[in-house]
Amino acid sequence: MRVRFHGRGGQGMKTASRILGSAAFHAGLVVQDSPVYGAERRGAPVAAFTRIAKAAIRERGLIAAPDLIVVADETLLFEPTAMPLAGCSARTVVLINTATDAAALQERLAHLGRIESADFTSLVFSITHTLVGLSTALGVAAAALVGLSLEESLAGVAEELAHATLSRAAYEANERLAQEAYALADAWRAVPEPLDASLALAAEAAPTALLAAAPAGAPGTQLVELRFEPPARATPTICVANTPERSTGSWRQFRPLLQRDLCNACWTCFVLCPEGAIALDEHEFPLIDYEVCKGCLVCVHECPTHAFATEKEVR
Amino acid sequence: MSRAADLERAAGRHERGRLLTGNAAAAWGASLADVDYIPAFPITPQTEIIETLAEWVADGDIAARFVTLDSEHSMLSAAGAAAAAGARVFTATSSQGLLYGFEMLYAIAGWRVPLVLVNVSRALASPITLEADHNDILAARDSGFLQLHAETCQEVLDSVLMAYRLAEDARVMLPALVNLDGFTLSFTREPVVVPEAAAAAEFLPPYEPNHAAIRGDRPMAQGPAVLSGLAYSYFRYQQQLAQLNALEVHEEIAAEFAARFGRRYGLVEPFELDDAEYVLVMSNAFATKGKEAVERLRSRGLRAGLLRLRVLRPFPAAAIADALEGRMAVAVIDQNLAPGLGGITYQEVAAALYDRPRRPPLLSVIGGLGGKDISDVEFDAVFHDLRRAAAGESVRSPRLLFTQAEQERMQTLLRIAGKGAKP
Repeated sequence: MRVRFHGRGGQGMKTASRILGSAAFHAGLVVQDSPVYGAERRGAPVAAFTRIAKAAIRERGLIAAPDLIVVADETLLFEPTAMPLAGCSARTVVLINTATDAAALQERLAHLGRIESADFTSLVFSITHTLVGLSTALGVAAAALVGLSLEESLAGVAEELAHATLSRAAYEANERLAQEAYALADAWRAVPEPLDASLALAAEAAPTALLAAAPAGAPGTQLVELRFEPPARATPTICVANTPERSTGSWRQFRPLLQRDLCNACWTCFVLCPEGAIALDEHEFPLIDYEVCKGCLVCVHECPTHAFATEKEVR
Repeated sequence: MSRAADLERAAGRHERGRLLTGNAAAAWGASLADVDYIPAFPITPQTEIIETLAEWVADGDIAARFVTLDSEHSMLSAAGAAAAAGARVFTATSSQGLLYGFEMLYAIAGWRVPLVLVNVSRALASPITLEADHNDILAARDSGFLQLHAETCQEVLDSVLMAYRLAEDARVMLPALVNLDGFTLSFTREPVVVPEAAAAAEFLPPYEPNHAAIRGDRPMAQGPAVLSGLAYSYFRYQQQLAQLNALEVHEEIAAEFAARFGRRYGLVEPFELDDAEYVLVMSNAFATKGKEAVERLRSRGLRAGLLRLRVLRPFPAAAIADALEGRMAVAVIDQNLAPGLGGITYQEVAAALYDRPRRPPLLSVIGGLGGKDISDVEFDAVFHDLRRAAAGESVRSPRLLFTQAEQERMQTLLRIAGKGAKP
C-alpha cells in the first residue's frame, strides 16, 4: 500500500506519515516512510510518503502512483507547485481535510476516483482546543482507510507522541481525537489493494508478473534529449516576490492586520519584512500585499508600538 | 527521545528491528563504535545525526566529548587532530559542508589517522537543492579516504562499524567516508536491527594506535613539511598501497561481520547476476529501485541483473571486471555528472574492463541528479538501449534520464519563474 500525504509546513504531515508507519509496523508489516520538503518553513507545501508491505520494499523516494492521498489543506489543491493529485488513477482514494462537501469537490477537481472529506480541523479544535493534532487525526484516518485496526492505530499514535513533550492532558486529548478520527474514517470503504503484489496487503493479490509498468508509449513517458538553451533561459534566476502564476499568500496561517491608529510610521516593518511584502502608502504608512505575505509575522513581533493584530486565516 | 528510552522501547523486537532513519542508524553506528570525540557542524540533511549524538552525550548515554565547531574546515581539523592524539573520532557532514572542509580531507589522509566521516549525499549548488546525488562524495574520491556507500539504513549502521575496523587495521590505517543518500535514506525510516553493544564491542575492539598518538610523555610532530618530491612520493604512494591492502582486509572483515551478525557485505553486491545478460551498475539507495526494475524485467523474460558498487575506494577493479566480463551489454547509471565528461563511475568501470578480452558494450547513463526520481519507464528505456547495444546498434552515450512529461513540467516551472515563452 502506498500513501502520500500533502500539507503545509507546520500541519504535521511528516508526523502523520510516521503515525501510519508505526501503526503498520506494530501490526507486523514492513514499513518505509519519509518526508520531502524544501527549505523548512511554516506554510510551505510539504509531502510525506508511507509504504506498507508484507515483505521487503524495493522502492525509494517519492510515491508517483499512490493508492491513498491525504490532503491536509484544501488550498494546496489549486496551487500549481504542490500538485497533490499528481499520479492519481481511478483507483486512487483522496482524503481531503475540508469543510466543503466531497461531491462539490469531486466536481471541481478532475479526479475520477473516490474522494472522501471531513472537517478534521474543526474536529481537532473541538477536542484539543488548539490546531495541533491534525497529524494524529489524519494519520489515524489513513490507518483506518488502509485497513489497520483501532488498536494498531493507537499504538502508532503512542509511538510517535512519545517523541513529543506533551502534558498528560494534551496526550489524553490526542487519544480521544485518534478514536474519533478512526471512527469517522472507518465508516468509509477501505482503500482498494494495489494491483501489483509487491506492496499488496491482501493474500489474494495478483502476482507481480502480471503487472505492466506504464504502458509503452503512454503520454509523456518517452525519454527526451535536452537541448542547449541560451543562458537567458537556462540559468537558475528567478524574479523576486510573486510571479504571475504563483502567489505565496496562500502559505499564510495568520494574517497581520495594521491598526493604523497605533502606527507611528517608523517603517520598521517595511525594512524588516523578509519578503518585501510591505510597501508604503501615500501617507508613508505601511501597506501589506496579502498576495505576497507568507504570514511569518516578523512585522507583528518587531513593531515597537504593537500596532499589528493577527487573525487566523479561514479559507 | 533519550537513548535509554529508545532501548527500552526496542526491547523484545530485535529480530524485526525497529523503524530508524538512515541518520539515526548512523548515530547508532557511532554509539556502538564507542567513539571518544565528536566534532560537529550542522547541515541539512545531515544535522539529525549530530543532534541525536548531542542528546545522547548530554544524557550521559555515550561517553564521548561532543564539540561544536565554527565550520566544516575547523570540524575536520579538530577531527583529524583528535584522531592523531589517539582518540576514536566520528563526525558527519554533507554536500557544501564536505566541500568547505575539503582541504582537510587530503591532510587527514596523509596523517594516516583512521577516523570515520559520514557524508549524507546532497547535490551541490548551484542551483541549490537538498536531495541526493553523488558529486559531493565523489569529489573526495582522490583524497585518500576509504569510501563505503550504503543502500539501506541497516547498511549505514553496519558500514560505520565495518569502516572503523577497516580504517584502523594496521595494513590500512586510513580515514573512511561512509555515504548515505539524503532524504532517500537520511530521513527515511525502515526496519533496522541494532546489534547488542557487547557484540559490537567484540567485533570492534578499542583503538590502540602506535603510529600516531600524541601524549605528554611522547611529543611528536605529525604531517610536517617534507619539502622534497622524493619524500612526498614515498608517503603519498603509501596511501595507494594501503588502499590496495584494504581490498583484502575488507573481505576478511566482511566475513567476520557476516559470521557475527548474519549480514554479508562484499566490495560489490551482485543481484540476479548468475545468468544475467543485461546488467545495470548502480550505487547507493537508488540501487533498490534498480533491483526492482531487474525483477520486473525478469518477469517479462529478460535476463536482467544488477551490480551494486559498495566500496568505491579502494576501487575493486578486478571484482567489477569479473562480474561484468562476458555480459551481452552493461549500463553504468551515474547519479552524478562531471560536466564536459559525463558519468564519473562509468569512466572507472570502463577502465576496469579495458584489458578484459570479453568486455561487453558499456553504456553511460546519467540519472537521479539532484534526487530526481528514476521511474519504471526510464529503467525500461535503459534496458531497451542495452538490447540495441548488444545487437551492435549505435546507442547514444552518455544519456540523461529525463522524460517528456518532466520536460513539459520544466517548461511550466520556467514560465512560473518569469522566463517567458519557450524561444
